[in-house]
Amino acid sequence: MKQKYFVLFVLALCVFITVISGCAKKTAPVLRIGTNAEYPPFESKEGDSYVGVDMDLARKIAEKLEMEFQIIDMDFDTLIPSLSSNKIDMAISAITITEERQRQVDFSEPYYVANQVIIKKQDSPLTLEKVEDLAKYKVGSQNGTTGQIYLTENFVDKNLMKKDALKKYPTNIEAITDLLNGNVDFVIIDDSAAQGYAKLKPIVTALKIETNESYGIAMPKGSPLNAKINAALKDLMDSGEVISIIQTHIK
Amino acid sequence: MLDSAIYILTNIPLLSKGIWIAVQITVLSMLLGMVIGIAVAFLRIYGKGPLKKAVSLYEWVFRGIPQLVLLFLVYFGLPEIGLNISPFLSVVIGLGLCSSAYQAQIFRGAILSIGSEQMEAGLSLGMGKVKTLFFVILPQAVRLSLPGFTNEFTIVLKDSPLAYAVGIAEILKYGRDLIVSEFRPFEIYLAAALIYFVLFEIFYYLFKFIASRYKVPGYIIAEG
Amino acid sequence: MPLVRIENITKSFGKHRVLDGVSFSIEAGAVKVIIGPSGTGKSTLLRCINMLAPPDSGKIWLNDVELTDKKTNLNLMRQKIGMVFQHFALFKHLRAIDNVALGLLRVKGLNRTDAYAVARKNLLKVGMQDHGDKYPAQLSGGQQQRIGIARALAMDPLLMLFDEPTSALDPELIGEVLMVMQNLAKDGMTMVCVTHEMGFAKSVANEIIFMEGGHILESAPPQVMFNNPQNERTRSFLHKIAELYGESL
Repeated sequence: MKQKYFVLFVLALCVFITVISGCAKKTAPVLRIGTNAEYPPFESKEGDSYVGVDMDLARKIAEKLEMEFQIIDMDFDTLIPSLSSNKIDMAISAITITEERQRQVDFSEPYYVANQVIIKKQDSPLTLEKVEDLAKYKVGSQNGTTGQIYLTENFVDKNLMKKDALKKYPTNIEAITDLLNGNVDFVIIDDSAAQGYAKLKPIVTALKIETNESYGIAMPKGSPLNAKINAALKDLMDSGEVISIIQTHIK
Repeated sequence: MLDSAIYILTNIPLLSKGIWIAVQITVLSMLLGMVIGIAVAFLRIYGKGPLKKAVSLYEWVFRGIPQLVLLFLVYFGLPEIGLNISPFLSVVIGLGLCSSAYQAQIFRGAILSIGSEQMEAGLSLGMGKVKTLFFVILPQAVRLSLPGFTNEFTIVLKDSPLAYAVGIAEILKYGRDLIVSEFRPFEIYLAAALIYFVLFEIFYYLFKFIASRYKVPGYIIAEG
Repeated sequence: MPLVRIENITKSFGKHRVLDGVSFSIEAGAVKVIIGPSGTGKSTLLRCINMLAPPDSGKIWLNDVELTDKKTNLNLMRQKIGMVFQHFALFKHLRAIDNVALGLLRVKGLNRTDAYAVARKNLLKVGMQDHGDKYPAQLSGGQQQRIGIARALAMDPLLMLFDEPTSALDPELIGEVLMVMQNLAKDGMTMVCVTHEMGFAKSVANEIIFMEGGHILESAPPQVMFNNPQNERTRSFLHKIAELYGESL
């Protein structure tokens, strides 16, 4: 019969633990910042700390708002759902401002302009004269990115490229791994990210696509914090701090 | 080859930071699943009418939902009706509810194999249904369920990396962070697999030990 | 005043009517043996008496308390009726002595010392006092059944129901159980037994009840029943049994 009491005790313990872990210490309001820290040089983890352009920006914004902040690391395509369901107050993760996304979230002023590049393995003999040449090949892309959307809208939807020739991956890591393994011929990726990975692996740019995308901070639609965040960002841009942060990480 | 091995070994401590979370998630989900599973099993066997039907429906529903879907439903969907649940709790609920449906089956199978005469004997002594369930059926059912329960435990342990989907830092996530900065996915994933494997072995032997402590001569618990 | 009164009970399982208007009564100290072909509802009848299988219609009284009344506290009444099962139904996760003591601890609410003292006494009564520490799986069928009897006896019942207590036993183990039952009868316990053991019935029973098709066709003291059965069906059944068992009835 001792068994019963043990079981009851463990049950009580687990209820206790879950309740405790569920209750956040509700003292000062914390700025919950969402990101997908798998995207150097904008956001990544070194040991226990978050580093990168977006991470430095985020810290500065929190400073200006005089708020404690918490960085919540998650899958890229769960950032927007997290904003909509009030899990985070803002998302900064090299997110390109698009009409589609603007229907679901509010964006700050743009703070960075990026373009897409097509990368290939260093020793690959393949060449691309123009964008249209991509149609003959297998191209990898990260889920939810503007690169993937670009190829979908301009190639797959127009029947120039077969649906399964555009390969989809959870992050660029997998896309690039497959590139290096020869499972895809090219990968479409933001230029700044490509730069970061080129330092670690033998990849080179095969083609630049001038998409002139702007990164913005995504925020829940109509949230009262948005004006403050935007104001903070504007301050940082006006004072030149944004440029200097970018230059620290992107040479 | 040696270089890979060294890389793996030096990074195992870092990845191991996620072990405590993985264990917490697994244990709590299993406990939730167990409490609900036992209740569902009992009600399906001894319950009457609408309650029995409701419980059958529950089991049918949660057997069919993929954990990730349920997890997202709880974490992202519930806020729409005003319930904002933390990532950790969402994972425990998601994995726990899915596990409860399978655990209900395990317990039900165990109870049914005990036979109705045990209940009759308890009742004939004047013990009533509840006491008989508690003192006669449950102790036997728990012992008979042990192999199935152990199996389910390892399944939930191996599902715990789903927590990554709602931003919880566990073993796999720590691995991915390393991969992003050092880009050696094969070694890191191998290291993560090794850690999960060791965890699995530890729990397997723990359950085996528990089974041997509580075994009763005459109950053959299959080697599993 | 009879200890048990059964009035016109019926019981169906689905479409199959197992008991079709059965009535009889049991006086204190009587030993009744119920015989008849399989499936005639003998076991069901026993299970009606302690309400494990409540009848669809009809009434049952134990000492003037109507068991079939919804307001009756069945658990309380069941403590007064002991049941012994064909397949022993011992609690497999408990030792023999724990089996006997469980009801005393959890139903009668005795403390451990008293409960186990009573348990030991009852083990002695069935000759199993040296086997208290064994688990059911470590005991032979005959030993298990004796523990089953001790478990029922420990509750100090007014009435004992035996549902084919020896049918699942190897022939050489039947004797030890029948002996316990005979001693019980001699000590004046009220017993209702469903059994095929005609020798036991002849020597111990006050009355043999022959059932077929959900009815009591005939009931009489053993001398009458075995030597001069009135009913045609009874005669044919007894004849078959005699052939089977090679007994001279």
